[in-house]
Amino acid sequence: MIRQLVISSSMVALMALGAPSLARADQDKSGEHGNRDDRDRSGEHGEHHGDAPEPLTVIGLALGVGAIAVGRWAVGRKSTRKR
Amino acid sequence: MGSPQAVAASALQRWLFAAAIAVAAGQVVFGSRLPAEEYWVTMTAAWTAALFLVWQRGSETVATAGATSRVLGAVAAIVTLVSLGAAPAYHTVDRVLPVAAGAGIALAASGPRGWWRHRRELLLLTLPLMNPLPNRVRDGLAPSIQPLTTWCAMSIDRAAGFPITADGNVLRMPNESLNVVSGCSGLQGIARLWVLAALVVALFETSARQKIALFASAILIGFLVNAARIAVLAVAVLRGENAMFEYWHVGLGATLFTLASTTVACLAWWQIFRRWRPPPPEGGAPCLVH
Repeated sequence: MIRQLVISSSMVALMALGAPSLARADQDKSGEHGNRDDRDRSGEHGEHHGDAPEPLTVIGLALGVGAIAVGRWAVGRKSTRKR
Repeated sequence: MGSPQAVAASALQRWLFAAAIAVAAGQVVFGSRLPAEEYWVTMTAAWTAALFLVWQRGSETVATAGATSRVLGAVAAIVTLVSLGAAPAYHTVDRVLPVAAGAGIALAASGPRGWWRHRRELLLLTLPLMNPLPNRVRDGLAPSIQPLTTWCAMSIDRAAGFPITADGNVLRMPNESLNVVSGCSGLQGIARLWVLAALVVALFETSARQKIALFASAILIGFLVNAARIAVLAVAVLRGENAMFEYWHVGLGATLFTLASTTVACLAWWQIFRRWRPPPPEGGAPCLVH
C-alpha cells in the first residue's frame, strides 16, 4: 500500500514539477515547434533552412498510418479466414 | 455465469477501457486545436494503436488496483486532459501528456504493476516525444549528419551532370551556394519513419531480424529521400529559378517528397515481411501481438 502510494504520488509530482521546466524549454524556441526553421530564410539566394511546412509534411505521416492500419486489417482478416 | 467477483471484475474492465477511450478521445480533440499537426497525427496514431493492443488483450487486462492507485491514476489522467484543454498554444510538455495519461490509466487498472504489464502500450504513447523531433535533439545530432547529406546531394547532382561541389555543409555552384543547415539534415524525415516503423513493430508479428531491418531501412530511406530533395533544391539554385526553389522547398513539391519517403518505406517493409517470414508458432492459433 505504502509502496503503491509512493510510486503513484512520485509520478504525479514528476508531472507537476516537469511541466513548467519543459514549458520554459519550449518557449526558448520562440514558441514554435518542429521544423519551422524553414520560415527563417535569410533572403540570401539559395539559403535553405529546413524541411517543408508542417501541414504539408504531415500528409506523409498520415499516409503511412493509413497504410499500416489497412495492412493490419488485412492481416487480421487473413488470420480469421485461416481459423 | 461466473462468480459475482468475476462479473464485477469484467464490468470494471469494461469501464476502464471506456475511460481509456474517453481520455484518448479528449486528448485527440484538445490536441486538434493546437497548431501542431505532426504532433496531433502522431498522438492520434499512438492512442489508436495502444487502445487496439489493450482491446486485443481482452481478459488478460486485470483490474487489481487498490483504491489509492485508482484515485491517483484517475487524477493523473484528468490532469493531462485539463492541461491539454487549457493550453492556448502548443508546448513541449504536451508531448508527455499521452504517456502520462496512459500511465495513469494503467495505474488505475492494475496498480504500479500495470506499468510493466502495459509497457508496450506505454511505449507506443511515448511516440509523440520522438516526433516531431525536438529542436534540441535535432540540433545536437544534425552536425554529424549535415556533411553526409551535403555530400550525398552533391553525388546525386554530379551523377546527373550538374557542376556542383560540396564544402562541409555547403553545396557550391559556379555562381551560387546552398547552405544545408540542421533543418534539412533529414532527421525530421527519419523520425517520422521511425514512428511508422514503431507502429508496424507494435501491430504486426515481427522477428528480431525484421525489427532491425524496419528501423534500419527507415533511417536509410529517410536520409536518401531528403538528400534527393536537397539535390533538387541545389539544381533550382544553380538555374536561378526561384519559383522552382520555392515549389520544392515549401510548396507541393516538398509534400511529394514526404509522400515518396512514406511510399518507398512501406514498399520496403512489405518486402521485408514477405522475404523474412517469422517461423509459425508451435501449436494453437497464431498470436498477432508480441
